[in-house]
Amino acid sequence: VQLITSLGLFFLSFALGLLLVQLVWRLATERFPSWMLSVFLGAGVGAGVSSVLFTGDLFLRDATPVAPPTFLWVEAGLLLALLAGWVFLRRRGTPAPASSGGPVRLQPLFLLLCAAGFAGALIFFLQSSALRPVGDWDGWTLWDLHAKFLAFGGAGWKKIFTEPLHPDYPLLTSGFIARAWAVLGRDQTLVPIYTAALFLFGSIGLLMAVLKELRGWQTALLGGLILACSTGYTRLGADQYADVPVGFYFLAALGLLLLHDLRFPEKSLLFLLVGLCAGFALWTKNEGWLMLAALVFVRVSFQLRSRSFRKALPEWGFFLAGLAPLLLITLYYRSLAPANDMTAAPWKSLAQLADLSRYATVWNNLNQYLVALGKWKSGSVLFLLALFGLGMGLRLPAAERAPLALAGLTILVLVGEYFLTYILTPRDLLWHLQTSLDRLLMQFFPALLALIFLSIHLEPEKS
Amino acid sequence: VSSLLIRVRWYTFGLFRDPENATPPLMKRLPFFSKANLLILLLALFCLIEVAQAVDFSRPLLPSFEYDPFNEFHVLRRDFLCAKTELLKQKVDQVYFLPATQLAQRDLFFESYYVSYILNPEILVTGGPDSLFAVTVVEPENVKQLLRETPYTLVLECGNSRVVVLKKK
Repeated sequence: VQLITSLGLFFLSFALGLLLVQLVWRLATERFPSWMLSVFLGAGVGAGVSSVLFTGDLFLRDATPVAPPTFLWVEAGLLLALLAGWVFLRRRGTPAPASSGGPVRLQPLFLLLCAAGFAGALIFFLQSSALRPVGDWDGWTLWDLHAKFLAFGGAGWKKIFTEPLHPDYPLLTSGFIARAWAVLGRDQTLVPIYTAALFLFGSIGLLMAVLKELRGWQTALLGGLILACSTGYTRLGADQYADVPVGFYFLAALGLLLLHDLRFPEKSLLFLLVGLCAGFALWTKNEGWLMLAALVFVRVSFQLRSRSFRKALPEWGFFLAGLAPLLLITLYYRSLAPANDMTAAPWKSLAQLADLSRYATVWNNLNQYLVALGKWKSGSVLFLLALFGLGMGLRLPAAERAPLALAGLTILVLVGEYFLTYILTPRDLLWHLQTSLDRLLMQFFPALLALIFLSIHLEPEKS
Repeated sequence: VSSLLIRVRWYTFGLFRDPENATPPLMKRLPFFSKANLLILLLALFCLIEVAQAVDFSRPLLPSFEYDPFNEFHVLRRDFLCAKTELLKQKVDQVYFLPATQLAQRDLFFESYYVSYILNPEILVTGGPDSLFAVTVVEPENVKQLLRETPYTLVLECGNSRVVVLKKK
């Protein structure tokens, strides 16, 4: 019964996200999105919505919900409303999603290699999860521990702020786990494991969905395969670190922007989903603020320079509408929580800006960790992809250059922000770099792969 | 730069891609593979090799999460949880956990934190700071010395592990 309840809660959240993505997309573009985009984007959006409803209920009532849990009624009501809307739009008649690739003839050997690679990634994830069911350090000392306060703390959930390690961290993953634990009445190990699987395989699937929409199956399979077989990334997911979920939402926001710019440039309503995903990144990790800043800064700068900002105002309106609920809940939580350890010594941090040796240390480590991105044993995956791109040739049609350049600049600005964070950190610099830099780079790894594979000439062979 | 890049590409990948539309020599001998397909297959093969190195083929490929005999976590958790009910009844000051498994490569802080915070969340969240008792994990080689020197009040046998409860008189 516990297993069925646990999986039932998972699918309730999944159905919510799926329908929400389908409805917004249909209203924005007059078509339903492809099944792949709906499933993988919907899984993450659903987890975010469920987490916010659970924690919102907790904040409003200042106690863990008792039976009947209010948040579940709200979720069920929302699901019914979305379902009614979906049925209504379906009956009005909708053209099938546009197929970007057409009938494609893929090599059987390539498909076999892909199947074996994806199966290998799944087995590696299961083996890692069985070895460490509560994840690695951050998994159990932060996210699972916070979930325990939220699920079982009752009115005393605020004792979370006395927890010694990072009590100010946002609660998306912890809230999603706590939602299931609160209903089950115990800390079932399966819940953080399926949460980790959702975001890990969700990221791989979402990367494939974006590439499939914009290029075709061959590009999608190869991009997804690279991410799935980057065992450093898969291991990070299985270890239940929140860098994978925050990377999922960053990929979602950037991928949706690319889909808007390259496929649906006039459909401003898509920005509702972009805002929602950027907001979920805020509610997942503090790095979400840096991601939001990079996304907004690059786009607004471009629009001001090309004098198209006024024309883009509806886009920003929808973006704010999607972002606002998440911004509110994050700011409310921050107002209760103790200050972040990074702001412990502001004057010392500012003085460090003049220390040139810190720049050299961060630069050297950044290069070192970038070369090892994805932790490939056979060598550097970025070097391998550079060789591959050189062999295949680049594909940058004039109409696509600006959107792809904007996406690239967003990642670059994000790296710059991370760089500055290390310059300012009040903690021991080497310790901080060694314990976090590889994870920070993993946060934009899926988005970087999307950009790389959109730029490589990988035309599928049409039959 | 453009000319140089074309030359680099021709000399490195020239077998597959000819910048001046000449027929690549190797293609005549490999009629089944186009230049692009060969590169794609190679990249996919690299991926497969990468993930194959990470999978542990000596373990079950589809492991059981509940009864994995390889998993020391389950042994630790089961042993500690069996003592939890008894611990919750007692107003204890200090608990020593003597795990049966050898906890190699993990320091004592890690294990203490792990047992205190993860295995007994009810103790952590339902009581005030006063009701929080510390749990110390003792390495197997130090067990005898601890039992000799500590004025313990209760020893709970749990699975293959022992939980020593220290309660002030």
